[in-house]
Amino acid sequence: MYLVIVGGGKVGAPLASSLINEGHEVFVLDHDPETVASLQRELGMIATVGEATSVRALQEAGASRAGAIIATTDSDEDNLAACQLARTNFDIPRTISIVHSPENAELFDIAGVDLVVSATDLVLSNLATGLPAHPLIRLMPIADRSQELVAIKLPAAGTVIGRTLSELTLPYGTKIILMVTSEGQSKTPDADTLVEEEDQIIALSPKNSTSELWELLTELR
Amino acid sequence: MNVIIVGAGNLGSALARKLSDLGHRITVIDKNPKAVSLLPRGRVDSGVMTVIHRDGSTGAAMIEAGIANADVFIAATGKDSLNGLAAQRAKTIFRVEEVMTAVKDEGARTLYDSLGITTINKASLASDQLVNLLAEEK
Repeated sequence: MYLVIVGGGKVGAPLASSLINEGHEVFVLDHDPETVASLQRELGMIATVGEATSVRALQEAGASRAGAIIATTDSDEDNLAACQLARTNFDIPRTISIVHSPENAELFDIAGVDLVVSATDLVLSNLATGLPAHPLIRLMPIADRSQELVAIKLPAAGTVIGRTLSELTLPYGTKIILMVTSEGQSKTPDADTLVEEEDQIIALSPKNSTSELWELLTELR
Repeated sequence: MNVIIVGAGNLGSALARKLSDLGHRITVIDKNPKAVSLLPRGRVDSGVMTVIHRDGSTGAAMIEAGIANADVFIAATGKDSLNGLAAQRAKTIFRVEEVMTAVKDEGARTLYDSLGITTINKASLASDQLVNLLAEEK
């Protein structure tokens, strides 16, 4: 597939390289001549200097025959504009973008960006898995972001330990999908499943009930 | 009317001054604290015109500027993409009735027109006016 990447920096450059290795045809647009020169040295003539938000630059990058545009610049506004301009001017079938400020993710969704990857959320969820605390880990938004997949690790002294799932009053709409014990054994949740210390619970949760779910599962005796 | 203007550069400041002359309540957002030099000082000092020093494309800045009660939102910074993002937030998240954005790239006009956002292009306005002047002289 022919793919246009805007932004050839920390994300764009390795992305271009791995897509080329997988056999895709890639073209990178970046406003910085040094970045472009370095891409050309490493990957060949697959990059050019141009503004991500210029219709002409997108055209010169071949947006009209591209199967997708992937926006990876450091600027949320440039990423959004690049995706929208590619869609309205070149009818590009698929738009994919990184978003840095979490509040912009919803706006990108409304604006019709097909796949929105929140850099901050990814970093936070990875950091959280390494912490000794019992944080709420947001794994991914579902559908229109009204629901999300979350992981919560249960504290040893929690009020829910030793009870069965049917004894818990979960927030409305919450579905527990999987439970993993501290030894790494997975339990398929049903009404009689016992909740044990340090279990990891993976749940699908309506976004506005997630904090209620976290409080229920991590409340201490 | 309550008007929020993002960007206190040449365009934003001129708009703020003229709309304020007409009696509208103006709030200007510009992240650069020095960017008030083009605004009418007396009105800023007396509080008739409010200035907020934040990134005007963020929801927090818009809320501080009173976007819930805004009738008009104008994105007038020098950066097309920032204007576009701010204008779309004002339109789709805060549901402001009239949203306008300054654009330099003609190619971006179709996009914002399709979203119901009014576009202003300084260069094209100026050249139209000059062409009209020339036509009148003939």
